[in-house]
Amino acid sequence: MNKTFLLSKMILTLSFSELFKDTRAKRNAFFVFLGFLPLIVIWLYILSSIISSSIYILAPSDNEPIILGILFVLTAIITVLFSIPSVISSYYFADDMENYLTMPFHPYQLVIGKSLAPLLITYMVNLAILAPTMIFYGMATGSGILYVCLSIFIFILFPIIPFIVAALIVMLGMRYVNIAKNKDRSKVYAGIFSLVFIIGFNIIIRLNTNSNQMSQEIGSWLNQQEQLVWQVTKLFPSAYVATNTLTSSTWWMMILFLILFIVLTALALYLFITIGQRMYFKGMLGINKGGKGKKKQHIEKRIGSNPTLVTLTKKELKTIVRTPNFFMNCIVQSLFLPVFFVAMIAFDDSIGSIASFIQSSNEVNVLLTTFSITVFMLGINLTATSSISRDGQWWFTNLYIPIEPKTVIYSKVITAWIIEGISIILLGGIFLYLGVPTIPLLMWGILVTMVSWISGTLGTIIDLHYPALNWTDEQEIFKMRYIPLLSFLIQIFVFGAAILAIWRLPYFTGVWQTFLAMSVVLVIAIYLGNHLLKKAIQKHYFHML
Amino acid sequence: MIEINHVTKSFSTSKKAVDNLNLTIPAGKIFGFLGPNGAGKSTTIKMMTGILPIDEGSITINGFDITKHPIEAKKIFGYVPDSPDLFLRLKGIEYLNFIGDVYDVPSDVRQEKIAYLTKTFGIYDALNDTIQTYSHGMRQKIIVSGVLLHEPKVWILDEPLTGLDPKSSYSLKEMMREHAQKGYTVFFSTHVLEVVEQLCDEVAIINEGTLLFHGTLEEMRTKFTSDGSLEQMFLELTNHE
Repeated sequence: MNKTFLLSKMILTLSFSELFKDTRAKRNAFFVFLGFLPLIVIWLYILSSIISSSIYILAPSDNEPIILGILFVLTAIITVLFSIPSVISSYYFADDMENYLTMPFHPYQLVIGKSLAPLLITYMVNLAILAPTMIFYGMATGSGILYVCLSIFIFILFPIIPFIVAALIVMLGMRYVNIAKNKDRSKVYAGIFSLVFIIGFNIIIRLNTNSNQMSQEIGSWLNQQEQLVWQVTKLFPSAYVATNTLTSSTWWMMILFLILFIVLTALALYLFITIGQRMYFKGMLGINKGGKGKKKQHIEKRIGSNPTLVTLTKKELKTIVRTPNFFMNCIVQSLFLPVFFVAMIAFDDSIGSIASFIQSSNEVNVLLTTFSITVFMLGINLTATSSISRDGQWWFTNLYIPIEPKTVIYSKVITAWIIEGISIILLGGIFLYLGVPTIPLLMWGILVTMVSWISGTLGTIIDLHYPALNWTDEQEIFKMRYIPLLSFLIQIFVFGAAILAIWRLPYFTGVWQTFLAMSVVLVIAIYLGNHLLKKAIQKHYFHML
Repeated sequence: MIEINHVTKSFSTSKKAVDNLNLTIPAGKIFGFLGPNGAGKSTTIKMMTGILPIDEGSITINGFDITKHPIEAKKIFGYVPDSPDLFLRLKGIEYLNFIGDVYDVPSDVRQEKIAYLTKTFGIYDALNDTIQTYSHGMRQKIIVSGVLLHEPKVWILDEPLTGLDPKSSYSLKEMMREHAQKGYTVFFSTHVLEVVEQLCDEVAIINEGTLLFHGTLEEMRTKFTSDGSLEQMFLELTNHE
């Protein structure tokens, strides 16, 4: 047990060592939190009103426990979905695994050690959904101190079983399906699978429910579906037992259900350790990275020269496409949101209403709306905010080659700009399909091309200030870092303010005036961005190691 | 020629990684840089190549100051780092093309040199594979090929023979000799004292950031126990108990 603890401590320390490394990082994390505070407040407000209004409807028929039941089920499903990719990455694809494989650890010890970081992320998700739900429910039903104590127990224990389910699915999958013959390719497959799963899940939910009724009268809906919801809850024993722990009519029943819950969790842990001990190495060993060229090509034909900026940009693009974590986070996820957007409107009978909105709105509103959607989508792209960090410990190679620092950095900005261009083209296609008129669409294209450059510049500047070069697993660049959030918030606030100003001020009534005003704002932003980028290069380029 | 003038580097306030180092590495010679682990060899090489900023002093490569004229200085030398795990997602041929573009090697010269170098090192057939699939030795060979591709006048090699098979090791040593005979500079660090005895015209020994000895092997033998092996002299100098 000591060795398990030792290993877990080491893995956790390495996983989180980059986070909050210095006081400056802590301060920035605090500001990011402040930026998100309004969103958190809105989320909590919506959740609290849904719960209190549902309780109001369900209480007369003593059906209010169903609220906790359905939320436990949803939390369990979300936890499983969230955990599968991070478990695959942590168990099988993290580069530090080779270091531990040569040490005398049992497979179960490695599995436990490698579970802690993804499990902690699971707790973060649960903190956003489960904790406020239990608090609001307790407040609305006037529960006492026993409810509070039991809620704390349930919050701590609840994520463990869904996480174990995810871990077992992954371990069994890797053992028998043997998808991992090529490590790189299977990483991409796993990532795309989880995204498709999320989109598919959304579509199924939308096909089977009436979303208006869901959001407006969630309580009545639950009341009507009581039997069905309880049936579903019973399919997730932990959700069923957790609900009963918190909602039973007598204190001893509550304690009894808590003991049952602890026993269930202990059994799940036992199963996890046993299967981990037997299966983990069988799926783990023999995974290969990269791929050999399929056929011999004439080397001579592949030798040719390019300008330095082009060769650096090509190197960046190839590295992103060939590194599964980079490919998933920088390219696939930037495509995911437009596809998700289409899936949402296509399966929600919204195309007609959106098309009629576009036809009935004036061109200024259409331009501003499409522009805002695009700013949001480009804001979440992770290519720019990982520009420097992607190089990791190999950053030094940029320092001894005879290339001007600004050429290296601009190749990274261009790379982000090209990748964001994929999202722009996809979105342009969607807007065209939705009937956005030609002139606003062309204007939109010109404006968002500039936004994309600004987004690339801003992300690169921030990454130059706070690079994460000492990662052991590429995932660390994208998870557990606040930099993408910082970039996203700056873009949302800056462009949001500009859009709001142009929209509300009386001078910009026509689409051409709006377009010109926004172009001027963006050209100024590009100029400022380039100026700041050059300053950041001077200050940080040679001082990051 | 490389000139290191009063160079100092600290990573903490208490200890200097390199302390007032003065060294001239002449052209036309193979220069060995020795020292125990943590002596300051890699820090010195990183400052010479522009990877680490210099706290005090200056370093010039063929007259170009690495801090004041970094691009000009970097065009002159070729550097083999101590770990060959670089550009792993690129294919071998893509890496060599990248180096060719960075150092402006004309296409026709590239064609000829890439074939020659990679066939000499036995990695020609692997050029279409990503470097990630290469063994340690093959990675070392592709990095060395990249350096030799642009024919730098100054070679700075950090443990260049580690991981090379005997044939490739022999080829590289021959290339180092030929390069020095042409009047160019070869500076390399190593732990393997036999290689130093075989190859070096001059050596410098560093420990705890301070230069302990600089001269030819003959001068070293005169200074220390006359019949002692290089190993004995090295241990004596670095205070091995």
